[in-house]
Amino acid sequence: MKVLLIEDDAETAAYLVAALSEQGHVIDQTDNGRDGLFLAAGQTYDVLVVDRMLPGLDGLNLIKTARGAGVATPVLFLTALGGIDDRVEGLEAGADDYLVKPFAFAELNARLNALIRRPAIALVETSLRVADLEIDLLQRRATRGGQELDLQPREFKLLEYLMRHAGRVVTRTMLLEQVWDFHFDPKTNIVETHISRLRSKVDRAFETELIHTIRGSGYLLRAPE
Amino acid sequence: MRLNRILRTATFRLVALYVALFGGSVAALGAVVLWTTHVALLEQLEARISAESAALVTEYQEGGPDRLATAVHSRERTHPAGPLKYFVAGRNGTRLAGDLPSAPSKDGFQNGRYPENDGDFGHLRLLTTTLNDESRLTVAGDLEQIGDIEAIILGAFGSAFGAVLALGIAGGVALSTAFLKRIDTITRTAEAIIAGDLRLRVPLRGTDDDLDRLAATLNRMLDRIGALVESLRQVSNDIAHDLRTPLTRLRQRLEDAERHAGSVEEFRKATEAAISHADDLLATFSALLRIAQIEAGTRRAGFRRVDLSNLFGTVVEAFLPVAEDDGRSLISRLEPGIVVEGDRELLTQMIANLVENSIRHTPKGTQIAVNLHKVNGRVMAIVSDNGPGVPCNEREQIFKRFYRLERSRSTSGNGLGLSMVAAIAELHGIGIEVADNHPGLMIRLFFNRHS
Repeated sequence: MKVLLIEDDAETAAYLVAALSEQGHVIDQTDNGRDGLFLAAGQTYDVLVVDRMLPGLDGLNLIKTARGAGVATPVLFLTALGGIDDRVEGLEAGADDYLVKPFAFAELNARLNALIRRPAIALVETSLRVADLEIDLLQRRATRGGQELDLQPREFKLLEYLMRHAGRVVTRTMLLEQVWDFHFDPKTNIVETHISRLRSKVDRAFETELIHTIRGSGYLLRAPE
Repeated sequence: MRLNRILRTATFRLVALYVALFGGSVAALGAVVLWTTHVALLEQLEARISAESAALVTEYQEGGPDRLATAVHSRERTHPAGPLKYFVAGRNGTRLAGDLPSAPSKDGFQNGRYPENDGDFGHLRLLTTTLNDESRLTVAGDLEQIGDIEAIILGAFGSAFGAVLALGIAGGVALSTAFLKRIDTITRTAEAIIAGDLRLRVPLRGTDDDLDRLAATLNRMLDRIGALVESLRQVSNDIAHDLRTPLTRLRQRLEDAERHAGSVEEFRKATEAAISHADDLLATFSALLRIAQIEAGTRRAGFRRVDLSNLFGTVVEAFLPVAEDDGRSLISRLEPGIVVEGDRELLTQMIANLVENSIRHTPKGTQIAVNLHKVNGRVMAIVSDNGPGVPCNEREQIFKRFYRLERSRSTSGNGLGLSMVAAIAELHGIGIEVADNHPGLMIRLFFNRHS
């Protein structure tokens, strides 16, 4: 995957370039908004990582200008700690996702993967299937091996999100944002508890586990090898 | 330098303006008086000259040139230094009578200048009349008298003008100095405050005039700044204190790992613990910044209509399994369809923090209740539990940053959850009431009618 990183802090940039390369991504990096916009418009990337504070052209305007120029590449917007309005501003400018600095690399990686593999055209799917687990998006029903699973609406939403990102790690924060629309950090184990309940319904009675915990990162739903 | 300052004060400028105005008035008045007097005196003199001339013409008509000459002689003899002088010229211009050295050749009033005994020139008003035998009679009045009176008037007005000017300037200097002295007091106080003594205040004179009111306003402003500085100092102290401990622990752990960790696995564990500590610190920082931003109030621009019933439902549903797994019960009674104006994200966090607070700071077996309903058209939310509650004297304190009850010191947390609640409530105009639930804690939220 080809990633364009627009970040002016040399140390952060070097760390991210090294870490993303380890994950097998190809990285271009620039430290200012003007060059960033030029690169984003001129070449084909799978995803852009844009810092909010940039010399030359700030991140918000860069995204707005790129979107205005027809650049449809997914954008992950990096904002500073505590900027509570930055998320809304970033999304309104045309970013697809945001991440508050400082962040765990696993969080960035998971979000990038979620953005990169997003289908170019949003397909209207009526059902999702992973191994013998199947959910019907219209009737909001889930079955495993033909056996109906009794899920609460929120559990269904959680399972749907995991299945849409099957084979990719989703983090606790991504789940909080996407499933509950919680944009803060709860002090209690909401996600852990709900995953545990979901597991007891999806996995417990079956031979193979589909929902996996990835230590230090999050959760992964995937078909057995 | 000092004079320069006085010259530049507003009072002095005002005084200078008044002095100029009064001085100008005095001068104008003087000019009018002078002119009027001059005209009146001249008319009087001319009337007298005309009367005298007419009398002499009568003498001439009655007794001819000889009688006229005699009359002139007799008048000059009777009043040698009199105000009127005469000249009677014969047909060929020879002097027949009179003291005047010469006479004009034209008839009517005119001015003339004649040398006097002391060598000066005298200014005269002359009336010449041609008589029947073409001899000419000239009667002259001394203009010097008018000049003398005018000089007296001019002198009087000059003195008055000088007095006005002197009084004005002296008054201006005096007033400016008094004004400057009070301004200087304010300036000196301000400078002492700049130098660091924040407790100083501008002294008041109790006269309740402009300057006194200005000083009082300045003092009130200083009080406010003082209070803000104090609260800022308090927050900084709190932050320093509450971040020092975890930072110290983080450092100790890293040092311990460096000295004692023998294997990669031990290093990995130590690093993981360090990252987790750093994350806690970042979370505290983030919460502090968030509270500060919420308190700044800029977020109000983003208020939308929020379905509060729905929002409460989501939060309760999210925390229900958590509460159950932790051995607490969470029940809710939510009136449907309650809508308020607000920030969805922040209101979610507010209610989530309250529910979490109840889950985390109560023993197992506690019942937690969340209620949302309308009372007399006003939205009220209650989060209550039957746990140990909060002692009466600490109820107001729980919303302060980093404040933690003694028994909660052992539980994890940064002591900012309820501060966040208070900040969000303040932003939305929501009143908070902490009450005893007999037993337990009850927090009531009164939504503003407009929120």
